[in-house]
Amino acid sequence: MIEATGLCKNFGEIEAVSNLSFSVAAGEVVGLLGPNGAGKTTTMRLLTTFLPPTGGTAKVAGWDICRESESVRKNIGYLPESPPLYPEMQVGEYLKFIAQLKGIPKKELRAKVEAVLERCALDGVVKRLCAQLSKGYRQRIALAGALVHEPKVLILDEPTSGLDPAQIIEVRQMIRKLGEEHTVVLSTHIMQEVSETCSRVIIISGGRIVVQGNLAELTREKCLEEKFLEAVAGTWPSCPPENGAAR
Amino acid sequence: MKGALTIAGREIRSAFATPLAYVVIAGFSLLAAFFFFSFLSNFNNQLRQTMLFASVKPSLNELVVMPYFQTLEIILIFLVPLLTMRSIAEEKRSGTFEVLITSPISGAGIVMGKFIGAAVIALVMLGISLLYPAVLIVLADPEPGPILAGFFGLVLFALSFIAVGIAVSAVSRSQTVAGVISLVVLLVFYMLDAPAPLVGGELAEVLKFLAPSSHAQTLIKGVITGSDILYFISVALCGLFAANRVLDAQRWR
Repeated sequence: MIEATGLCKNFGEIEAVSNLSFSVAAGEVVGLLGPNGAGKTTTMRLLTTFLPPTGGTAKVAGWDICRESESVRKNIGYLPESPPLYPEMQVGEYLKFIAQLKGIPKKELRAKVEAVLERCALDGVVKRLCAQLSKGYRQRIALAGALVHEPKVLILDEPTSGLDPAQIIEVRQMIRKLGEEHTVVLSTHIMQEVSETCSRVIIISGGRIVVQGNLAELTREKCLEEKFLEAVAGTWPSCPPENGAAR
Repeated sequence: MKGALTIAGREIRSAFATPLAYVVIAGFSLLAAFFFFSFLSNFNNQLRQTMLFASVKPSLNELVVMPYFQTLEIILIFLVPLLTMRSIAEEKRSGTFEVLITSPISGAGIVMGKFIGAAVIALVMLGISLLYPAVLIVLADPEPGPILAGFFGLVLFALSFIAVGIAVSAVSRSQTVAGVISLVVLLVFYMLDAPAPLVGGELAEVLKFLAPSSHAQTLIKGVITGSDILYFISVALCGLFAANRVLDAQRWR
């Protein structure tokens, strides 16, 4: 479903990610793990065509992110790190707007929006303004926005950041459920989240993949936490590289 | 195009769901009313004087409607940045820009949607300002033709400035910065022909042609010419094209 080959992204002198190659099969839930500033968000922005890569390419849902970006964008749902909501819009309105942007035909709009409202348990707040709702609700609205067009691939950037423990459990359950129908890539720096939701792990540090593999295999000898610390030991704590550029 | 209309629709609903559209429209109408009234009372004074000497009757078009439209032009320079400064800058700041860019819509579609949205609000605003001259038509005897031509010129003027404002809004993440830059850019653009008498020669002619005031002036006088219409359409297209290029360039940075 996702096939990345040698993805690179530089911001001027700074190498945000370099030479990322990995693949994600259909129906997998893959955790992108790494310390802050490792390049997780950049990787996701490359996959969602928000940023074009400096080198290499990737295929998402069978389409090339550089040459067929419009088809890629039709087939992905993206949850950015901070919920991308318009504060002055009602929840129902917002989801309708997102569905229209995604190109859902007019006669299916209502059904799709209602379905996703139910799926994300937002029925009760359809008429509320996004600005008035709690962080947990806002995260769920954003997730509903990513889901409304039933994309093949879901890309979730730190889906549980800023939520309270009960909400975290709730969102993790949702992600597990999503994995039954969609291919999911999620980024996080919480080990527990990976072991609870993902079937495969990609650990990146300093913009490079340091470990990738099946969760069960990786954790056979050591627990994920030890494995993570071992993997990032060479590249983290992320003291600035010699040229002083921050990551 | 469908995507552009979706964005435009959201833009308009949002503007009217927040105080922004109301404040800008109310401010514009208030200023318009004030200037219209002062031009009208000036006209009445002149009328009284000429009645004493019974010479040529002063023209409503020349003494009220024309200066009124010219003043609205200048008010627009200050209000258009308020309408356009948030359009793209705010999306970038709040993170909703990521949703727009990662949906199957082209950069041109986004820019077009933003433009249509702001244009509709501006049309509502200008529509209200047309009410005062309309009262003149009902109660007195100005020539309606030049009034409509002048209004048409004002609309073209506003649309071209909105396009420029949106291009500036694409540059920044901050509404305030976008607003200030738009104001400066539009003012300089409007005053482009000011140094013409100083430089003289061909350069002066070029400056006069590039500045919007002379083109708007002909339309406000009631003369509709193809070249003036083409001028404003070109300015608008340049603005929209620039906005689209800015969005593209930022992605490749």
